Amino acid sequence: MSLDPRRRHLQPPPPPPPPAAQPEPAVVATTDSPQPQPNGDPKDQQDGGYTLTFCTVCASNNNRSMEAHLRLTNRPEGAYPTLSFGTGSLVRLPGPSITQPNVYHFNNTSYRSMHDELLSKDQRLYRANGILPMLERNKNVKWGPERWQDWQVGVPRTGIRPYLAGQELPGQQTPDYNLDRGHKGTEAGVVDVVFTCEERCWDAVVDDLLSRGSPLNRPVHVFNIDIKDNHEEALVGGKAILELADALNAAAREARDQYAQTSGTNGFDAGHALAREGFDERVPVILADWQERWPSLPALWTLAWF
Amino acid sequence: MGSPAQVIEQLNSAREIVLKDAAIYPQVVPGVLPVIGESAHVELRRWGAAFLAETFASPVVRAEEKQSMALGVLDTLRQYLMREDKMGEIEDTAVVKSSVQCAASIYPLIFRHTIANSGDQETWSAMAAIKSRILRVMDGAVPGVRICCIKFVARVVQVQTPGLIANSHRPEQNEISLSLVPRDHPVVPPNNLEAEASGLLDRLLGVLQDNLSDALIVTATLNSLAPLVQRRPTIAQKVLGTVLNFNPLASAKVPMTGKDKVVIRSMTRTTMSFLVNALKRNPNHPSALRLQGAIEGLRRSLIEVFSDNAGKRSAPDEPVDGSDDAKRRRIDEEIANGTSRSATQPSYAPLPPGPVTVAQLFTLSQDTSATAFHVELLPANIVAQLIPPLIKSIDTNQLNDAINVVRQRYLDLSKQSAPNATLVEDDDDYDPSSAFPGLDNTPGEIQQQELSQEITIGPFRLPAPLPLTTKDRDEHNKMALTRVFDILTILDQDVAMKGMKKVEAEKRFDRRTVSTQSRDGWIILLTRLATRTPCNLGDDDSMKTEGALAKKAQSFGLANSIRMALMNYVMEDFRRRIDVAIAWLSEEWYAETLISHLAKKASKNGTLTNYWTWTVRLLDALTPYLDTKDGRILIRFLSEIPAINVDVLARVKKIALDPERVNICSQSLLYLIMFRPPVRELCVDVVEQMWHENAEAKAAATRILVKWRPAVVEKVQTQA
Repeated sequence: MSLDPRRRHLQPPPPPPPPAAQPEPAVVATTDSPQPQPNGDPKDQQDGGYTLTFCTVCASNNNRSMEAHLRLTNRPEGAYPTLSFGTGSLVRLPGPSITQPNVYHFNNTSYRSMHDELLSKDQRLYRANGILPMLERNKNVKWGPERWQDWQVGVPRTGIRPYLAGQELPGQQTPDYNLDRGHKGTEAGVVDVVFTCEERCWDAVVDDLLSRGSPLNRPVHVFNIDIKDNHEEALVGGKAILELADALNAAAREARDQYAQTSGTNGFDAGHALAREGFDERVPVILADWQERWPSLPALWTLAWF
Repeated sequence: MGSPAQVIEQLNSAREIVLKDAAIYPQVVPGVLPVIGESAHVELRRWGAAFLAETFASPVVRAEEKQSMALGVLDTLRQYLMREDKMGEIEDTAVVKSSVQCAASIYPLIFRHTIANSGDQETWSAMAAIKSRILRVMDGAVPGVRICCIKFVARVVQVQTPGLIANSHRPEQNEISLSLVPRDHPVVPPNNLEAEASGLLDRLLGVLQDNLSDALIVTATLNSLAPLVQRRPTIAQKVLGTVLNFNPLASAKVPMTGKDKVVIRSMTRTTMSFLVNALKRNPNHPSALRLQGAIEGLRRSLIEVFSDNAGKRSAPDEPVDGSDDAKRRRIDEEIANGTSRSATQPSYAPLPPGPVTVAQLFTLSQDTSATAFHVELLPANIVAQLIPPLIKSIDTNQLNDAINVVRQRYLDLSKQSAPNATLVEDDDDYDPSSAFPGLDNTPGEIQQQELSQEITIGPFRLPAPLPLTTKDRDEHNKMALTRVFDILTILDQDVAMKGMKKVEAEKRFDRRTVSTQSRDGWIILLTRLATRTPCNLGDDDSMKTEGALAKKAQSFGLANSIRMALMNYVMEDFRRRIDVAIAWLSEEWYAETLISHLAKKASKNGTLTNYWTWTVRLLDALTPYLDTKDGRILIRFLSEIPAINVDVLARVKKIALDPERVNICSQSLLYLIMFRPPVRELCVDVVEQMWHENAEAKAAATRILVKWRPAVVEKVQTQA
């Protein structure tokens, strides 16, 4: 852990330290241990209540979105159902120089194959710049980077990834959705909340949703949280995203529990002030509160449709 | 049946099965319906409503299957939505939300079913009941439900407005729209439906026209309007116009709370995304310019509102196209601060995004015919007539404003590019510098490092030049010579001006060293260059090798051109430069004598080819110009050159053919006879020949012969 350069600059903790930071589970350290089975992992079991489903999006689906993906699925209370995507045209990772990035295709390249390739190319360099530790983390979160624009919303995500079915993938993990962290709850292939990590990604996501023509008639809250694309900021951003997700989830759960408490007096025309506070309308307030605690991560939000 | 939790567990396993195999939906859905009905526990109703919404939204279920299943679920949906009427109990928000979502997905299916089954009045009225229920509760519902109602209404509008018919023979492949309805359909008369849709659209747009500040409702509305703009050309313009007139910043107050900031920013950015998307999908849209203008305007306003000095600057300028100013809204006084004149002044369309031409930068008019007009077409005299009244009529303020607009545009352009990133589909979002915390050199630094390394590697070597051709060499020789003789000319002029100083210079000890100030130095250099190059001093044998011969030939080329130049130099002013001629010829003689001495060819004058050639040539050139007063020149020349032969004396004898110059000729010969004993006999011979051949020179020759060869004269006298 102490060797992980991504965590080198983590002392002192970044500004506004959220209360009671969870100790980092040693995910990165368990690099060569067998793939944890998310569904069999007791931590992964929901604590019984209702949870929102989340989706994290960055450019290459490697650093920021994957850190957040890990955070959202690594809570002691149980993993949030989580997907993650990238909006770029290709997966770009730093190479030996600025002009020589390592470029991979979305959807059909696994984190493991990237990891193995870079390990054989220049282990020292890619360990020093944190790329290998990052890929080690990623390959324990899910099979490979996925592109937002290629995501068929609403198509069930169970079993082998359909676009890889029947392909020989020697020496690789099975590209099974069920092995992804936070898979449980995302089987239907939809989410309630999308977090993008850069305004450009938010633009891409919103634009893509507008272009799709919203055939599912399903609302989705799309947030942007501006995170710089480096390992340190990704760690900070992942923490901030988890905090926002917790706040949103708590509000959603509260709204759901109200019906039972007020025995059916909320709904269309209920006069009860508290009862009228549903989840969706609280979102801007929650975001504003969160923004006050994280002023360095400018946020943006819209209610879009799948 | 067990507890709700147990039932839900069973339902979940059923759901798992259908998610894996969509073909089973038609069996599972009817089986589930009784379990999730109105009498079921709220958790089951929630599950059921969500499952139905999911089922009818699923892209993997075929449309025909959905359509047949839809008939069966209408009743359940109606129960959910009308629970209050029937059970006296308000339905749970989550159930209602899911139900409305499901209704939105089902509506087009029921619509198509009704088109195909014109006798099925019942189904349509069930759907219509659900629709009217949703419409009735929409405005008063909790926002979470209201947004779903808005989406439902948008879907209804989409269905009940004519769409594009892609394939008239296969209606099942076409998008469900009013275009599929026959004009005389008994259940769904198209005219009524279109009128209803128009009213519903107005209701949707009302959210924007009223400038609601509820970001949830506003963004949900904007995002649900997009399909209408894309797919319903008959209403697209209306929707776009409303969005263009919508000012998400209108509710900006000073000071803004944290929530205000988030809300205003989010609404503005969503509006921008909507406009960008509309523009991108149809770049040739008639109001494309207006769209661009609005996007830029929003972008700028957003920056202004959120910059720290918000309120100090003028209101964001809005694009004007002159069509519907009545609907135009003003930015709140708080933002405008009532200070600027810009509220009354005509505003100008901002520049289109992306690269602009200089013409675009300066074009303020939106009148395309005016911008397309080329002023140079006007004749100059008409322009001259036009300009004075035009200048008079220009309002100074207007002109200043226009200048300021162009200036602002220019400033914007110079710091632009970053804001335009969203317009251009630029997904080259690779930023490796941020991922290399230790290696964050800027490219400039790296280049410098590389450069300094290159420099330290070693001395830089120029590549060797191409070998010179003979022609090139001759060219260069000529050029060099010209330059040297130019210097000589200049030096001669200097000497002429300074007069006697020349003598002093000549007396200097180092007069044979070449310096730019010394004519003699240059002469010595030139003469030796001409005469000495052919002699390979101390290296006789190489003379015989071919390479040396070739070298010799080259040297001769240079030497002869120097000789030629020297001769010309002397002849330009032979009276002054006779010393040069003597020096040169002396060098010639010395060089050739040296060669023959080294070659041990002791024959005395035999090999002085160059010397004789050039002496005779010079004399030939000289003699025509000698006049009666030049005796001293001729005497000096003949006495100082190192050797004289018959050829030389023959030239001298010729001079006497001119009666006027007999005198200088005889004087020269007499001088040679008196003071140059080695050639005395030769000279006397020449005089004797003259005495015989030349009557004009007889008198002068007699005087010499009397003293030096009296026998000739006496013999003639005795004969006489």
